[in-house]
Amino acid sequence: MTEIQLTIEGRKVKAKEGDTVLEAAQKAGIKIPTLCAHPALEPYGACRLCIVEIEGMRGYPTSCTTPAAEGMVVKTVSPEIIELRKNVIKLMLSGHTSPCFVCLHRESCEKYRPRSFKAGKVTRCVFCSNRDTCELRMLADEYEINDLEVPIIYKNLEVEQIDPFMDRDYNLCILCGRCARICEKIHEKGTIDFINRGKDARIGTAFNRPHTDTDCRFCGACVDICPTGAMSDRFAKWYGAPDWVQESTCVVCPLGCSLNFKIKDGKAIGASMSAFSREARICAIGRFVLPQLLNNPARRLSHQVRIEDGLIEASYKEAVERAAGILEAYRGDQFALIAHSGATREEIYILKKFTKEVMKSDNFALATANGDKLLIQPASVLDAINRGKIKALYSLGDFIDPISIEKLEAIIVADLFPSRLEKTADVFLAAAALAETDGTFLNSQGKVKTLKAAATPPENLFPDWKIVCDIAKKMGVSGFGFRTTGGILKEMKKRKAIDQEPPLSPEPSPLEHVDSLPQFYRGHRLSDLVCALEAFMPPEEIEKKKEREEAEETPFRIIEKIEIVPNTHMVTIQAPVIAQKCQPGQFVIAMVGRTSERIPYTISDFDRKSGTITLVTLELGRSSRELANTRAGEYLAHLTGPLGKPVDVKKYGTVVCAGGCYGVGAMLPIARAMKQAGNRVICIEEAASHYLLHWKDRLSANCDELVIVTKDGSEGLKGGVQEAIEMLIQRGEKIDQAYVIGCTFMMMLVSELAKKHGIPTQTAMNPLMLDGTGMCGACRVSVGEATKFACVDGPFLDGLKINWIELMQRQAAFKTEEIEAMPQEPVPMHEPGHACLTAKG
Amino acid sequence: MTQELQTVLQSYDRSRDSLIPILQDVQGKLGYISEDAVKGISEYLRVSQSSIYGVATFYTQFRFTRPGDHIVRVCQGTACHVRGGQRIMNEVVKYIGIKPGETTPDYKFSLERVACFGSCALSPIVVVDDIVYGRMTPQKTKQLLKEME
Ligand code: SF4
Ligand code: SF4
Ligand code: SF4
Ligand code: FES
Ligand code: FES
Repeated sequence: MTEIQLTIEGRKVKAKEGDTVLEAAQKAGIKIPTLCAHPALEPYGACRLCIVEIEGMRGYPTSCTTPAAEGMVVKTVSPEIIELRKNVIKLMLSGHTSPCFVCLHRESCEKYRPRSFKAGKVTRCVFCSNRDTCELRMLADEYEINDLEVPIIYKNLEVEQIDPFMDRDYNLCILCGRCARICEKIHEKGTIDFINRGKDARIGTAFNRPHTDTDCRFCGACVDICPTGAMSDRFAKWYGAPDWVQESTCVVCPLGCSLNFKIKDGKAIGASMSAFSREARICAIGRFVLPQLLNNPARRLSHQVRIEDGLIEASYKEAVERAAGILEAYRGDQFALIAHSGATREEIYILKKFTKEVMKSDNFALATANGDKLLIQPASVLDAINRGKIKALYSLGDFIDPISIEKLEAIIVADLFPSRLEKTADVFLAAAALAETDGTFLNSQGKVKTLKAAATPPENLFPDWKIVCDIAKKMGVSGFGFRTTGGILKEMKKRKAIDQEPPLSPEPSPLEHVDSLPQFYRGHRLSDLVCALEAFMPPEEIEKKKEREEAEETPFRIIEKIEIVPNTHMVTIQAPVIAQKCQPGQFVIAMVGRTSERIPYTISDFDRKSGTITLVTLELGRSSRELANTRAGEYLAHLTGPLGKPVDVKKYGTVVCAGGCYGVGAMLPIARAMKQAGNRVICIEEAASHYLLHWKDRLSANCDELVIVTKDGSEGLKGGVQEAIEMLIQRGEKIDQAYVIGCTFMMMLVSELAKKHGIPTQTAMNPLMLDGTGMCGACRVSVGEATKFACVDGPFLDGLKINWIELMQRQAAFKTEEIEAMPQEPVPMHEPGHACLTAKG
Repeated sequence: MTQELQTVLQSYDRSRDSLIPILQDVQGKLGYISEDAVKGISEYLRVSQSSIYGVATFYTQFRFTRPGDHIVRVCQGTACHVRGGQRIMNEVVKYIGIKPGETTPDYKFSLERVACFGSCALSPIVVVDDIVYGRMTPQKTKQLLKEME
């Protein structure tokens, strides 16, 4: 290839013939801003950011499309170029959700709100998950754009959350076309392209179909190449930019694709192709499901051993000792080990060696998935189990059915997720896997692929090879003292024990169509663990799954579900026993789906006659979103209650009940009871603005006076509950008792005021509680000298004595867990809400 | 793929340049560009469905829903408007029960709004299946539609 020389910014620069001016500049380390250009894509020339001046050429050519030529003299900066680029950026920002660029308070906003809000719709940068990595934002900052002569237009296109894994908000799209071009490059026939014209031009599918109705393979390339927040990975998005990226291998199916794990705080929050090319493509499992398996809410994070007829948590050491002790008694042919095809070569070797040399058995089997079937090979092992010849099993997953389980005397399970086998196990060892382990993998093309341990496994969890080595050592057998997988590989080489036979390729390939995605990992149905996969299941399968789940659960039916004001949802549930027993101030613990978190909700109302209770929740984060997305006629997976101490209902004199957000509902039963007890009751309802006020009529009907206070003064007093109480005091009201329910911040401010005026004040500690039994300790609160548990001693605790500062700090520590827990199921358009089957019961 | 579509496709080169002529031909024969047609063209030309849809939506001449047997256009241009075009539109909307841009469920009528048909001298006008009816009233329009059922 001929070399050419040109002058860029007065520097002599060498380039290859065929390079563009942009490439020549980049090679010489001279930066030219770009947006539509991408190293993986052909030159396009749409955004006009990369304009330069070239001697002898008229105007401002785009460097990304202009071929470099011998002797060219190029200028990349000049006042005119800068001005033009600024205008290009401003025009883009005008059609974008850009208020943050021109905001006067941007600096302090970013200081106090370092993380974006997990909003449903992005209306400005502070609501955008892409904020940390946005190329548009970086350019706007680089060009110091802080005012726009052009108006900001919100296109108001519906946010597309209808598909699994990917959210698309074309209100943020700057029409760079990278997504459409990469899709076409990787898949030959692209799924998305520019559609419509003029001001309606946008990216979309044919006939605006959801991606599930197109040939989209859910490879995520479009998401990964988008410079803005228009396309995002629903699971990974709120974590922000990864700290680093590690190339490794997906072992879910025999293709063993290379992929890059995105690591943040030691967690694999995402994965993507190792390059933007057809050769490097991966399927939806590799791209989206792997991270969700590792961070799955159902994942078992502790080891367990059996006592009498239950499993209890045990340390790793105890579990290994117990396993070793049990296995001692089953040496010989009465032992079998079933591994899985996603194990590394080193693991398979060590598991075989363990079977042979420690257990003196030939019964080593491998479970592989073939479409929707699981195969155990050799078949003789399963056969021997069924004939009762095998009495002890070591299993690396959920492979055998209850009839076979019945035949076994001893079961050791090393796995990540619960299963039927795990329920009957004598020892359960929680394993580290996938992005948490290293080793090598022989894929179906006969290539040896490398796995790199990139993510930190949960505390005290170890990979399968280590677990087995530790058991062997405990059983007093030598030859298992490996410290790394490298050591195992060395021994494999020395013993010439390397399997050369590649596994069969999955046919048809999961890379071609979502219908042929792998369905199992370690015998677990992936769609049971990652509910978004249901979108790819045929309707009959979903029906079957629903039946399976319904057979298992005692449901709590949702009678009514409405969004009272934006983000505030009221859910009325059939729960006769709770409705019968509950008292004002008590709460319930609800689990929306079987894999959901257990979350406390104050009982906002109850009706003993109809046997219903009503909960009010503010949609903020995962659990509340799940509850908010339920619909009448659906069922909650579980409901426990009533819990906590009721408020002390008696005659005080004048009682103030104050609440904001979720607390408005929660104060209703208290106000009603206090009124019935003969008190003069004043209710204070606080909201940010008039359009968030609700239940005014219900409250009015149960108190002597309702005081409305809004942050923006749009209705009632201006301010918060504090201001309302001040007002009451000023007009000479003597308050004998106050109940305050709302966010921690509000309750803290009110308590400070109450202290000053000596008003006995009870504050609701609901925002803290997790398990409702005092066992988890998450709801510890320092009240004066004592430590109280909000869920047992509360929810109402003495606001005047609470150590609020400590409390606020502890709550901030939960931030990451909250992101982890964001729901991943697609939300249909134009529908009030939806939650996937797994989350239903 | 329908026989009709197949015949259309086979008379063109398998090249991207044929795309617009094919789309025009399909619309001429079918009256609109159906999802099936896009799928068929995609297979024939080896061009993605989204690109075909993208091209087709770029040109305003293409429509993507099956039109009614009769296309009713009510002019809302200035001249027609001042002479009661809006009242005619209201009457039509009431009578056939659909809004402009829609087609009746029995595919009898499609309703469209046009901005000046260039026949202002005859305003207000209604155009049905390309025949211009001038000096219309809500009553006369209703009568006209009734006759077509
Ligand atoms: S996920 Fe992959 S196949 Fe689907 S639109 Fe994006 S790039 Fe194309
Ligand atoms: S969605 Fe993203 S990649 Fe696609 S055109 Fe818009 S900004 Fe560019
Ligand atoms: S095809 Fe999918 S499941 Fe199989 S190895 Fe590649 S990314 Fe993993
Ligand atoms: S980067 Fe060159 S025109 Fe967009
Ligand atoms: S305004 Fe109706 S034809 Fe001109």
